[in-house]
Amino acid sequence: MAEAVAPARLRTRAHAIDASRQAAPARPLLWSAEDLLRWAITTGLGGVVIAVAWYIAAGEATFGQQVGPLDAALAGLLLSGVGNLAWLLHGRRALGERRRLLLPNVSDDAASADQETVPVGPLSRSEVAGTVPDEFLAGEGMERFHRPECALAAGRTGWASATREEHEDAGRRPCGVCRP
Amino acid sequence: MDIGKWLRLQWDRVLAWVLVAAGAIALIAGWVGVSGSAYAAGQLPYIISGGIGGIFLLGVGATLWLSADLRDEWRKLDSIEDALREERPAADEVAVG
Repeated sequence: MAEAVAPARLRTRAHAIDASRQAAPARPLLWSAEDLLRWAITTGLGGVVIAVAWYIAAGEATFGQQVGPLDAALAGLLLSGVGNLAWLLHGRRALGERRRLLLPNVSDDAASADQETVPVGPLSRSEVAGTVPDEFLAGEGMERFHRPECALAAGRTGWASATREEHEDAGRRPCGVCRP
Repeated sequence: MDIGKWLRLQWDRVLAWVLVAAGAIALIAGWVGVSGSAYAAGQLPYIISGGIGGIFLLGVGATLWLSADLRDEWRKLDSIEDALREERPAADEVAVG
């Protein structure tokens, strides 16, 4: 009997480990190994071409013989420039996509805020939103409270505003992003 | 703050500054070399090594610096994603209850 229970426990534990591994998602990377390899190849090759071109040009006696290495050096510079540009553009694109995925309301809210805000004085964003600075936002049943300008509070029209003490009395903790 | 720890955390920015400084030094050295030679054949190697090489180093340094900024923003999104994950189970419990 005991022998039958032990494998069952082991199976349950194995299932729990599998479930936790599945529940913990792999963190996405900004650049993949393929991007890094592409950048390293273009930049490294560009640098090597420039160095070799300099070595050859330094050994030639006339200007006419040095024009070829000069062209090669410029081609190496162009190659590394394209590699650097592709690396940065890929990073920017990945960042923008992830931002849109995580915070779909932020860009819309920022655009509408830009249209609606009237520059009449040094108003803080919380004053524009209609809350006083020492009040923070949280949704019903949420564990954390946020500053009004926090990205996680963007677009949450139903969230109530309350003081820090009231949120803490309700068992909420400060948001880890905006750190109110 | 511990210098070693800071260097480990900011390795990309440190490397970027090193490359930018090396690029600036290469440009200045190239200019000195070109100005000290009367013949085009003597100047061209300095243009390739100091001029083009210096621009190459400046470009790689600038790329590393901008990459560090992008990586910082990516890490900020990591923390936002973690915070969202912590919020969602609590909201689901309320919705079910």
